[in-house]
Amino acid sequence: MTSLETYIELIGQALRLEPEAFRAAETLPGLALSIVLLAGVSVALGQAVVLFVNRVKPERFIASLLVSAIHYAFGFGFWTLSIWLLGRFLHGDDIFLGNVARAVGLGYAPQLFSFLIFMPYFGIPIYVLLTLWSLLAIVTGVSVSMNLLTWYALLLSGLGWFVLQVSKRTIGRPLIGLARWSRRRVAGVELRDLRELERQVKSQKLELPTPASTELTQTSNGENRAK
Amino acid sequence: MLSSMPLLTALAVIGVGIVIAMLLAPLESLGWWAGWYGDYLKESALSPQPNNQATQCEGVNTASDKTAYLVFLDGIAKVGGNNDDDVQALLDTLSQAIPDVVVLGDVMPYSVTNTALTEARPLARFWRRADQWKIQGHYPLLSFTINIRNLFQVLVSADKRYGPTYNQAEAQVILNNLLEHGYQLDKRLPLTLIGYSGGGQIALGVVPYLQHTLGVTIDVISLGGVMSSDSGLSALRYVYHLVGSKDQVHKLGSLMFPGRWSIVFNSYWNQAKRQGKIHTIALGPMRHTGTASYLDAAKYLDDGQSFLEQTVSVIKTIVTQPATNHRVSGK
Repeated sequence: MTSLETYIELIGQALRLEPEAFRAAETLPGLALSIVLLAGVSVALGQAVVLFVNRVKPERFIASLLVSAIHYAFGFGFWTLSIWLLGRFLHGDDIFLGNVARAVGLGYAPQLFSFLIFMPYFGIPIYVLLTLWSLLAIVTGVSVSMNLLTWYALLLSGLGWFVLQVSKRTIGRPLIGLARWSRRRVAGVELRDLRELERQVKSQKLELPTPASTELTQTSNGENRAK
Repeated sequence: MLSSMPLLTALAVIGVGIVIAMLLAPLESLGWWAGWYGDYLKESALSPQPNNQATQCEGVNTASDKTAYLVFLDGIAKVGGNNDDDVQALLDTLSQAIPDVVVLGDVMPYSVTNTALTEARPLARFWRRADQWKIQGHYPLLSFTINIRNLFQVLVSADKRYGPTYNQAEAQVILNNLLEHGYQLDKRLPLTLIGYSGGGQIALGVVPYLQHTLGVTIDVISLGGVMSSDSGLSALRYVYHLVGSKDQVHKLGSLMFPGRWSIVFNSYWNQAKRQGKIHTIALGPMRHTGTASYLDAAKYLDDGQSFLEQTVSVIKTIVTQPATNHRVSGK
């Protein structure tokens, strides 16, 4: 079996939440990061509406997607680090960061389908489904890599996420600022969220012809029509 | 097993095709918003479109003696350009029944650039073929792709992420159409939007943008309309939901869109219901489309009116009588 076939097989098993996949992933160092980066691109595609409504030019579109994928990978990294640190704090030194990272990374496999979020109407339920599916996969991975019961792995993953959110709002603010700056730099515009844009769109009036550009013409049947 | 494989393969191909089509659906409106199409809509506001057919009688001054404007937004079978015969019959009958109301029916509700499916598109040739099949009654599944494509635009309109840009663009198309047909901004004539089937959702979606610009009273008449709990409900005066007892399609709106469910207490739809904005009017034993539909001039009610006449009569009552005095009922 080639590497690619092995990777695809493992991704399939991870999607089915089979623990063997996460054990096998511990021996494949490149797999987790590849999945996370591809998932990041897929998530960025699924949420590309943000780039469109902010009027990002076509030539900057691809670069903006790639930057989003890189930020996504950093998010994975920090979450994994939070889980690992909590795990070491609670259980001691025999938990290896690499194993945790590979297992959590494989847990991102459902996010490979995140481009489907772009679909109208079905996109939001798909987003919810993929988020839950990914959470289950990550919990399975944490359970396998740290040899924990499932509920405990869920708790640890949740605590790790909470620590990440607190960090983002405190010691991580410079990094968040850097991420925003890089996104703005690459996109060429300030990226506002959809709610803010909706308010702006609804506050704008529709285009009307200006008086200077309007002249009356007579049609063949004598109607006066604005041209 | 072997005999079922081609069917499974066919279903898989169809499924993938549907997913791809849905992924592409938001791109027209998003591309317009992002400026990929230039100033197409602004320019069209200043010059009439060559393929539009105004429904006004020739020789009638479209502005000075009119009391209201009515814009018809056709259902998801619309290809653009010319109206189907039954739709044109509705518009012509309405024009005759309410001569002091300007009746317009040449907007393409499923294109933010007001472009017919059969023109100026990469797949125009396919849509022209599908339109021919529809008219000839051949290959119904393939001709139904027109409906599916337009249905996806209805979903774009109803999606909270895409709706604002899509609905603003369609509102611009409608405003351009009004101005082309002599709408005078300073006269502030009231506006009624008739949304047939999927056009019902489009009608709701454009209301806030038209209301904000024109500052006039806007009502929506849904003719078997499939509608979401759209924020447009907060900007209009009334929704008149005209339904036939044999029309099952309009119920899709109340099933598909969670905001229409009564348990979603504070949705725009349920708020509008509590405010008395939504009036449901039974028209009689009418189907959604085709034979025995709202537009059928050859099927008759017990009182001798054709289904088309009944539909026109109810719309005329809604448009011409003050809303607070309505005693409108179908049979």
